[in-house]
Amino acid sequence: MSKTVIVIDSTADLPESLRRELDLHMVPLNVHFGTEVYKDQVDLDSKTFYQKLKASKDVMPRTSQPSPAQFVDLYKQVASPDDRILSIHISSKASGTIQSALIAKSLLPEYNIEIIDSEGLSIHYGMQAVEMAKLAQQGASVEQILEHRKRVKESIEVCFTVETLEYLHKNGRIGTANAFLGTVLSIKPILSIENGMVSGVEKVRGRKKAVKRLVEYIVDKMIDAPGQKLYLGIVQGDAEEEADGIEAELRAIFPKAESIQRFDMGPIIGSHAGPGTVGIIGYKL
Amino acid sequence: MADVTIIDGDTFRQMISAASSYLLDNKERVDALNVFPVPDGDTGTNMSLTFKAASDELGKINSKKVSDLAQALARGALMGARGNSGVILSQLLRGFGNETDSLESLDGAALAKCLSGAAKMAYRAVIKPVEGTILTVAREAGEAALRAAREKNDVLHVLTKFLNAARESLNNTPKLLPALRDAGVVDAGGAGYVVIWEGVFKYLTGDLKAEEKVTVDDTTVFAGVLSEESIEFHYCTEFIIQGRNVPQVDLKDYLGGIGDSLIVVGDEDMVKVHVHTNNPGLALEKALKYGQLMKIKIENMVEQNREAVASGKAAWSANTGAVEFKSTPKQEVEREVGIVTVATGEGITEILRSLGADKIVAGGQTMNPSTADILEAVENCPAKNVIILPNNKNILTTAAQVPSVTDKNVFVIESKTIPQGIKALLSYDPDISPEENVKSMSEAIKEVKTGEVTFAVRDTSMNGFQIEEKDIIGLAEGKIETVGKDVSTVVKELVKKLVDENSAILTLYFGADVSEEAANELLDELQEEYPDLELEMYNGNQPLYYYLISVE
Repeated sequence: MSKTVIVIDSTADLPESLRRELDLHMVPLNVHFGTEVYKDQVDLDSKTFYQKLKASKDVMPRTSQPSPAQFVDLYKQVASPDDRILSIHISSKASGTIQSALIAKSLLPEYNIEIIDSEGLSIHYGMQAVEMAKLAQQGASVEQILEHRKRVKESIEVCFTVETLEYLHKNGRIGTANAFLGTVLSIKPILSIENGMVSGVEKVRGRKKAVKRLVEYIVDKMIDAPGQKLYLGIVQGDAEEEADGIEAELRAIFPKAESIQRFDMGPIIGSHAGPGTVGIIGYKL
Repeated sequence: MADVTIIDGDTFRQMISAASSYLLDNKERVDALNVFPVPDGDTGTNMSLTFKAASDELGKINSKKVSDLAQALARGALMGARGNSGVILSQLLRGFGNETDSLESLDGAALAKCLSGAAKMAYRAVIKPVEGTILTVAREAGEAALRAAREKNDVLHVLTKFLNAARESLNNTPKLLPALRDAGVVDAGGAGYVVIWEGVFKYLTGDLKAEEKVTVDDTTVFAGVLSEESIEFHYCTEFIIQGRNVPQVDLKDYLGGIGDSLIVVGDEDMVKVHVHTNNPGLALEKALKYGQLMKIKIENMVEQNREAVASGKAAWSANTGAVEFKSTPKQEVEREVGIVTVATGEGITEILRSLGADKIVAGGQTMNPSTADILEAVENCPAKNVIILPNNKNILTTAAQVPSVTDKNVFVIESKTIPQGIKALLSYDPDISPEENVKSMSEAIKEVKTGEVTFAVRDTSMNGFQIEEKDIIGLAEGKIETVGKDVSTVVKELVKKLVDENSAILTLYFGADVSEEAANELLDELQEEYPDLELEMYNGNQPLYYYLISVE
């Protein structure tokens, strides 16, 4: 019997347990520290990554998209030509990962592969994949799954703050948040994702205020949800304590939320956002 | 030039291996060009590693057929593709390999077909082909190869025409892609592609042996990024920044880090920069933050050295050996909204500038600027709508006169203190309308409390305090709240009055009469007293006020 298989890449920042539970198959991107190369979330986990990041101050980690061959191999391994593969990936504006996936598709003409640009990063993208997987497990059709993905994406609100914009800047992934650069005062930016790129929301003085604003931002967008189910997620990279605080606050404000999940920001997104990044995502269905 | 009429299997192996080493030896120079699609400077590295992986694949098969080898090359590239440029390269090689069909060897015509097929495949594979990249270079050069093959079915003839067209196309990339033009570089991926085929050409003409290490050459298109060991920094980069309050010290620090022979001269609105660097793009990008650039001139000093010797062989820019982009000499772009503010003290001024203030009128408590002073700043501010932040109660009324004496649309925000001015600027967004800015900036002012610590100029009695001349006085929101003999003690008393349970950040700007040590000592003491507050200390270098304090 033919099945629907969902393929993701490692920038979705979904833990292995969840990927296994939801049958999500992952292609890792690569993290480079100088000449060392690691497969993201395969031979480098978040914790080790942030330790390395701190230890190797002079070497900025670099990242690279998976090769087309990695996709070819995974597609062949998880599906047969009778199956349908839905391959959803990190925003094409932030990474060439989709490019590799598309080439893999062109190399496998006998396979039934749909490539989807999530226009998201980290769990903004990850949650789209999670929702698709939930439906796939319920036996929904490809059309239903894709339709559902669209709804989820349209409903998603996301905001995050970084300890410093230096990382986003150095890696060239700063998008329209560029205007937030170059100030003398220690400004903490409130950032979001718009059209597949990082965008600036506002400038805040001080880390605590920034974290407070994140919660306000999401509460403001999510509080009005008549008859809808509310899903919240918190993602952090080396900002565990702040994420704890946010979680406690969200649980108090949204006691009826369908789920409030925690995620670790993985090495790839972490390379670009830097340590001390924390963000909140919310959507209602 | 000797005719090389065909490429057989052995030749193919050798030329690919030579090209791979050649690219590897030149990867840093390709990296340095990388500004598009993301300026992360790894195009050369990624392409060379991808090509190396492709080349290594040839060692795994025994065939002497070019078609088997070219297809193995494509397979290797596909598996080893690194980064965006590597993936595109893998598709070029895939297209090349497909065209070899089942050929034993390549003659000029077959080679041309492969070179053109490479580009076609790459265009098909890339989601959104962008002109001015490796794609353009591969396509235009591929077309030239087809034309050349019709003239003469000869491998070297085809390759020569191919390379000439590739160089020309590469040189043209900044005209097609604004990101390249702005950074003053040619496309990195395109450069990498040229290097590969140049390596092949050099091998076939005997200039380069397989696995031979060659980094210096005078015949290459890549002259632009090739080095002469004696010259550490290759690009003589000059430009003028016409902007607002250009921070020369910052600029010098940064440019000193990426080059030498540094000259930064001028005033705060017009700065001339001269630097020798390997990263002219970085220098330009940094400068762009401070204003618009004029008279940009980037010259390749290695190439200049060589020009006398080399006989006009194709260079990066075939004619001049220099990339020169003349910016149209125009007035500073008039923006929708600009900011004029009033302050004294280098540190304070620098902070206001960094937050987007266009013009800063010198002035403050005992040094009120005239309406004419503020008007002049407004007139010189490169914007149709100007927002004034007076930052002092006494200057509010002066500023209020300005709208009636200028044709510009002027708004005065009632900032009465420097911390209020800074807070207002934090909400400033040059991309939204002046009205929206006035609204959000005025709102923001309400979220900050100001403390000022200064000294009494005469004996007086005020707000219930008996004050003697030279006493240290602390004002909260403009009212005297504490009096003493010691600056730090007064600061602590004042902070006590300003901070409440909603406070999160305490910022202190120490003045010209306070030493950095004293300020840091006070900061430590305050941090101990208020462990839950975020404390920040900046050197405001303002006169009269020992400390300006903001509580948010």
